[in-house]
Amino acid sequence: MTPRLSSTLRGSDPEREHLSETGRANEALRVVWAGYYADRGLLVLSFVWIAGRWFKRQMIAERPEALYEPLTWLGAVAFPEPISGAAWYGIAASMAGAVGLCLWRPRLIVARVAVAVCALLLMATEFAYGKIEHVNHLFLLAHVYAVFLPVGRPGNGESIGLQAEATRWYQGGLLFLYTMAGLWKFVDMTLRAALKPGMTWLHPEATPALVALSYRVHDFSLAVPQAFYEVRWLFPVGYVVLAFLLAPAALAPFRRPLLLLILPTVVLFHLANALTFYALFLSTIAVAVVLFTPYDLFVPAVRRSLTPVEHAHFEGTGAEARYRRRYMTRDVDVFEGFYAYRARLEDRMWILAAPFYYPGAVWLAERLLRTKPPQPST
Amino acid sequence: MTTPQRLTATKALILAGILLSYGSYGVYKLGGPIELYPFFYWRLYSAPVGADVSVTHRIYARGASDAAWQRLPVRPTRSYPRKEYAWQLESLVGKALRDSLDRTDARERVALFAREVAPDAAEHRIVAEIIYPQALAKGIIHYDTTTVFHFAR
Repeated sequence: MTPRLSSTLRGSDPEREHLSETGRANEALRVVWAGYYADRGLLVLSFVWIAGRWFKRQMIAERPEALYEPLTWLGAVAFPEPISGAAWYGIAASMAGAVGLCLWRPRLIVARVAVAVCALLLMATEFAYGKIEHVNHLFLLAHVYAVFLPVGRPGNGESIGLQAEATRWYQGGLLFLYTMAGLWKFVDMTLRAALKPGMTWLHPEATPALVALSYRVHDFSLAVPQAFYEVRWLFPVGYVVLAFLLAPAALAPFRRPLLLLILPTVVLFHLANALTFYALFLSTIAVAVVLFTPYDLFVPAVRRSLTPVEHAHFEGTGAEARYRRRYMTRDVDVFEGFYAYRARLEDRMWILAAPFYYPGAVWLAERLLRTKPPQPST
Repeated sequence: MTTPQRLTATKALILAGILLSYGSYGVYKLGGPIELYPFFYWRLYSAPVGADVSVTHRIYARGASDAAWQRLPVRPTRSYPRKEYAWQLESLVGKALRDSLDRTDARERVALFAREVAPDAAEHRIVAEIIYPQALAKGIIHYDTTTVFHFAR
C-alpha cells in the first residue's frame, strides 16, 4: 500500500504523526490479535450457523417439491432439483470438518475454500422459495474473504505488519457493505430527490408508511406503525444521521477507535430494521459483533503482549501542541497539533477519540486549531 | 503461500468483490437477474417504494358447506416462517400474473401453495388487496380487493 493511501485510510499525517518502531509494532500487534480472536469467534459461530441451517432444513423438507425453484445461478447449476438429505448432510458435515481444520490450522487455504463453498452451497439450497434473503450474507462473505487471510497468532518481524494490514483490509472489505448502503442513501437524498418525483426518506411520513406496509404485509397489528406516526419527525433526522454513520464504515478498521461508533451503529441499524420492517438480520448482528469487536481493548493477554508505555507528556496548545509517548524500550512516538490532542484522548479512552477519526474531522479541527488564539503566559 | 502473497490475494479478492457488487447493480439495471450471487449491491431500502399504494395478496378459503369466504392471514406454518410464507405467496402469484397466456405451470403452483396452506378447504381464491400505507399509518384501516385467481377442487 502506498504511504499516501495508507495515511488517507488511517486519517493520519506522517508529517505530524511520528510513530516509533515500538509504536508501530504495538499497533500492529493489537490489530493482529484482534483479528485472531475475531477469526476464532467466526469459526465457533460457524458451528452454530450449521446447526441453524439444520433446523431450517427440517422446515424446508416439508415443502412440496413442485414449489422448489432455484433463484441463484449457483442453485440452478448445483441443485436443479431439491437437494437430497444425504447430499445436504454431506455438505454440512464437510463444512463442519473444514471449520474444525481451520481452528487447528487457520491458514489452510483448502479448508478455508471448503468452508466458503459449503456455506454458499447450503444457502443456495434455501434460496429457492420466492426470495433471496440477505440475512446470512455477512457470514458468507466473511468466509469468502478469509480464504487467503494470513490470520493467526502474531508472527515475527515484518510479517506482523503485513498480518495487520491484511486484517484491516479484510474487516474494511466486509464493512464496505455498510459503506455502500450509506452511500446509496446520500445519492437518494440528493440526486434521486431532485430527479424523480415522489416520496423520499426525508419525508416525515415515509418511514411510518413503510412500517405500516411491512406490518400489514405480515398481518401484524398496526399499533407500532401508528405509534411511529406520532413521532414521525424523528425518522428523517435518523435517516440522515444513519447515512453519515454508515458511509465511513469501511474506514473503521484503519481508524480503529471509529469501530466503537460503527459497530453499535451496525447493531442498532439491524435492530431498528427488525422492529420497523421485520427485517430479521439478527444473525448478522452476531457476526458483526464477533468480527468487529476490538478485542485488544480488553483481553488481558493482548495487553500483556504490548510494550508498556513508560511515560506520556503533553505540552503546548493549538497547532503547537505536542504529545510524546515514551516506551520502556526508550522509543518515542511524537504527535503534533490536532494529532497530539487525538492521541492523548485515544490513550485515555478510545471512545473519546472516535469522533476525531471521522472523515473530515482532521480538516475541521486543524482549521479551528490554527485560528485558536495563543494562550497568555502565566 | 507467503504472507505478502496472502495480503495481495486478500486485497484482490476484496476488490473483486466490490467490483462485482457494483457490476451486479449494473446487470440488474440492464434487465438481468436481480443480483449476482453472492455479490449483492446493498441498495436495500434506499427509497421508500410503496409508500403511496401497494398491493399484497392473500389466500381466501371456503369449505364445501360454507357460504362465506375466510381470509387467511399470513402466519407461520409447519413449513414456512411468517416472512417466507409472504415471500413465497407473492413470488408465485407474481409469476402467475405475468404468465397471462397460461403457458407455464405458474397457476398450478399457486394452487399447490394454497392447498398446502389450507388443505381442508374446497375452494381457494387469491385476492389482491390494494392497501394505502400512509393512510394505514394514520389509523385509517381500509383496503380494496379484487380476485385474481379462483381454484376449486
